Amino acid sequence: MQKFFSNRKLIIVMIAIIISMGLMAFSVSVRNSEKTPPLVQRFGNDVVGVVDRVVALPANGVKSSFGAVSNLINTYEENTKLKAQLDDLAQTKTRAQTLQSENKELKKQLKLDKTLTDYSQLNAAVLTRSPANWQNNLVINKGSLAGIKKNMPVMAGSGLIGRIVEVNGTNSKVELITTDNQSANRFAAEVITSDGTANGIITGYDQATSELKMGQLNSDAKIKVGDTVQTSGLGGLTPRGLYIGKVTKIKHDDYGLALSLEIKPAVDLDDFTVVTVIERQIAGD
Amino acid sequence: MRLREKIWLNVLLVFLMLLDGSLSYIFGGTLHRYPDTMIIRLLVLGLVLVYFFAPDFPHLLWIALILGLFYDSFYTGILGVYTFLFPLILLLTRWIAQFFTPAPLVIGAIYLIDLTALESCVYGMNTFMGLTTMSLSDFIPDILGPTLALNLVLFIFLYLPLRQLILKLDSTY
Repeated sequence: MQKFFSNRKLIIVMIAIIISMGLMAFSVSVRNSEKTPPLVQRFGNDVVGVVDRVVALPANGVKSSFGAVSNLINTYEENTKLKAQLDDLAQTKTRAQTLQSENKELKKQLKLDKTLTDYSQLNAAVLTRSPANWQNNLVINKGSLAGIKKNMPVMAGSGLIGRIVEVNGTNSKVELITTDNQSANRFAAEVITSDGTANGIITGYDQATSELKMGQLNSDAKIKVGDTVQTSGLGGLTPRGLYIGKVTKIKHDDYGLALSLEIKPAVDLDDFTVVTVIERQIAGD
Repeated sequence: MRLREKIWLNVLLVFLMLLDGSLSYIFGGTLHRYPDTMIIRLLVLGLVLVYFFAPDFPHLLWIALILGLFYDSFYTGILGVYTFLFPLILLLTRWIAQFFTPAPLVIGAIYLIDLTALESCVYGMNTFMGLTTMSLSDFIPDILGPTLALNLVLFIFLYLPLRQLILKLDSTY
């Protein structure tokens, strides 16, 4: 019977383990700093990304056509509901436009160029996602050539879904807000209450209830269930005012001091085909 | 001659690698439903079947290493996980295979052992790097079990077509 590893093989495997540990340490350090991966790796990712389009385009076509059929079934019911909301929306939109133009004029008078709420949008399509769920990563089809930078926030529909963690030439990776990663960057968020705002941080995701957790709040704010949560624009490259979700539960810790919230995300965090990358106009830190 | 044979089998393996990601994305809602997570491993199936049915395919270990490197870089950005594990499961396959004659049942069993080793090592590495906080008692029923079940079903359906494809590509000159 041959041994599992002969001596020579054992040494090779040992060396492989050491190299693999080194590579892991290197990748984690690149991931946690502001750096992009080395040129070779970016180039490799670009090549794979281009080849992946051959597989991803037909596959995503199938996905969207299935989606279209299942949407058709719900259409009638949705239509009646949406009609009711539409009148209200038109009024809100006009009001928003008026306020926006007024805001612009006032900013001009104050000689304010850009504030935390100014941002531009970049649309991108999802190419693929990582098969394993350890890193909740998506790959999207825009990269540094389209102006995407590391740490930009990413939205789908009306809600925040994650941030850019790696940028290559023609594709980039998005880490979803649902990640379990201990070293992930967290979003600074604020709750809009009837008497002002309360600042906090999105601290994690509860898979069992599919709700986001928010903690580290200044607890004197009177937060109610149903209040809106949005990004606060403090720190990083996130502008203020990106919609995250609504408060569903308010919890105090055992001593009644620290406050934590549960938030129902605005979008289904498992199902989207097109994302919007947000670029803040004011420079980040 | 030999070059062309190499290229088509390589194309197949790359295609399986990309299919892993696309299928996970398309069926994301089904595969990642709390608490169960099913991970599609068509590339591993491809590697194991190529090992058995294209035995004179040159440099399979190196190709597994390169594919692993691309897999890491493209999907997760953490190098060194699959780079190391894909060649390792081929070594494991080679070691187990010497005790048996390769019948479909045996290959299926070896494939499941490979997957168990692979998923456990990936879990271990992610815990080591602090990228997950999942406990072992959650990992075994929620990830390992469903993943093995899914890949067993895929193996049953894909064994014959993939074997024929590999044999055909292997004999193409």
